[in-house]
Parts: sequence; C-alpha cells; structure tokens
Amino acid sequence: MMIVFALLNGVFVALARALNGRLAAQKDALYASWINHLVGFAALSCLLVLSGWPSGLTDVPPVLLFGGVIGALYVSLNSYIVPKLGVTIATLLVIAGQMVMSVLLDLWLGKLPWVLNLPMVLLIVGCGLLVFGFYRLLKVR
Amino acid sequence: MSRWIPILLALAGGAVLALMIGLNSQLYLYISPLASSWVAHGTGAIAALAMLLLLKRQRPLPKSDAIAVPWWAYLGGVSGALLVILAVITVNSFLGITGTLVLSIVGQVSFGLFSDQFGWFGLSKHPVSRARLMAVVPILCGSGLIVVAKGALA
Repeated sequence: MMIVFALLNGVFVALARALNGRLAAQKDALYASWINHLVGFAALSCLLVLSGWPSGLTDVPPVLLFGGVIGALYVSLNSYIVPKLGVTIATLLVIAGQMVMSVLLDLWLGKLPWVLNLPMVLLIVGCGLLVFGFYRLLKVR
Repeated sequence: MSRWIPILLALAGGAVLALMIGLNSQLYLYISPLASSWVAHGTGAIAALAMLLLLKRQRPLPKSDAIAVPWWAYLGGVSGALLVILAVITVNSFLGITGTLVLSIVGQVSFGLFSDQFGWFGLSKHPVSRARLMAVVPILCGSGLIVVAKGALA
C-alpha cells in the first residue's frame, strides 16, 4: 500500500508538471507558475479549514518564506521546458539537476563525509551515469 | 545548438528544486507539513505574480484566442497540493525518505513515458525510441544510485 502511495506521489509530481507545461505552452511559464501556486494555495486552504488552523505560524523565521519564492521560479522553469523537451526528458533532467545540487549542498553543509567507502563509490558511479545520460541525450532528435 | 538552452534550464530547475526542498524542510521544524505547503504556495503565488507583472511590460501574454485553454490545464496546483499528503504518509512509513524518493522517481518517469508516447494533455508526442532509452536509462539509474548512496551515507 505504501509502495503504491509512493509511486502515486511520483505520478502526481509528473501530472502537475504536464498540466502546468500544457498551460505554459499556450500562455506563459510565469503565468502557469502563478496559477499553480494560486490553485494549490486554495486547495490547501480548504484542507486546512477541515484539519484545523495551523499553530506556530508566527514562530516561522521570515527567511524560510523564500522557499515559496524559489518554488515559483521552479514551476516557471518546469513549465517552460515541458513543451520543448517532453515530459520524460524534462522530468529526468530536473531529477538529475536536483541530485547534483543536493550532493553539492550536502558536501557544502558537511553532511557528506569525505571518505571512500562503498556508498561514496556508488555516489560517484551515479554521477558518472548522469553525465553519460546527458551526453546520450544530445543525440536524441 | 538551441537544444542546450532548455536542457540547461531543466538542470537549473532541478537545482532550484533541491534548494527549495532544503528551505521547506526547515519549515517543518516550526509547522506541520500541510501548513508548510500552504505557506510555500501562498508566498509562491505572490512571487510568481510579482515576476509576471514585472516582466509583462516587455513581454505581453499571448492572447491565444484560436483555441481556448482546457479547464483541466489549470489544475496542476491541485496535484501539487495533494503531493504533500502522500509524501508525509510514505516518508513516515517503512519506506523512509530514500524509498519514497526512489519510488517517486519511478512513478514520475513511468508517467512521463506514457504521457510522451501518446501525447497526453495536448502536448507533442515523443515516442519511446532506442536513442531516447539510451539517455533515459543511465539518468534514471544514476539518480537512483545517488539517492540510495546518500541514504546510506546519512
């Protein structure tokens, strides 16, 4: 059941990407991003009304509100590339970019140890596969 | 080499996503995941509108009177909002973050392959070909390896 939920999670990510891309194909990527956040905000407001008003809102440091600002940029970029690259390639490149950035962030924050053990080797092999995939991608029409 | 531009923008999109997840995961320390997503969507809507208005002067929205935009194209945000609930359930199950991420990637790519094959949602068709698989498989395996390796290192 949990496995189905996790797979569905991915389907929802891709569905949102495809729908926003469709909207951007006819309108504009920033417009799609705005609609996405507005509709999502409305949907979540309904859920919050059902589940009760969140507590601790006033304790949130203002810096953390930039997550949403970056999110607006992310959805715009997504919506721009989907009509140009197709859903699969857009998805894979976004995931690859996310992986590379998360590894860099972890290295920078000191969350990844600089040791050469099995997981570290797997990590390097993974990055190598990404580079090989990018190279192959350029050969796709 | 016009193909480079969307490819680089897609990679940048992923990098931006990783930053966003990093920031939003800090929000979870203060408020529930549902409330975090609500706050992120609210501030995101304001930011997107601000960018839209700022850039509108140089680049007016295409009118596209020829074909009306179908109503369902506006619902991407609902799908995005529902994600949070599924993610919270699965991350807190035996799957953890690593399992959730790997299965989510599998779900995303499978959906993408189907959607591209048949040109769903009025987007252009990109049928599966040998050349496409030669790019899809290494990127998918590489991403999976990185997720698992990071899970083991953490």
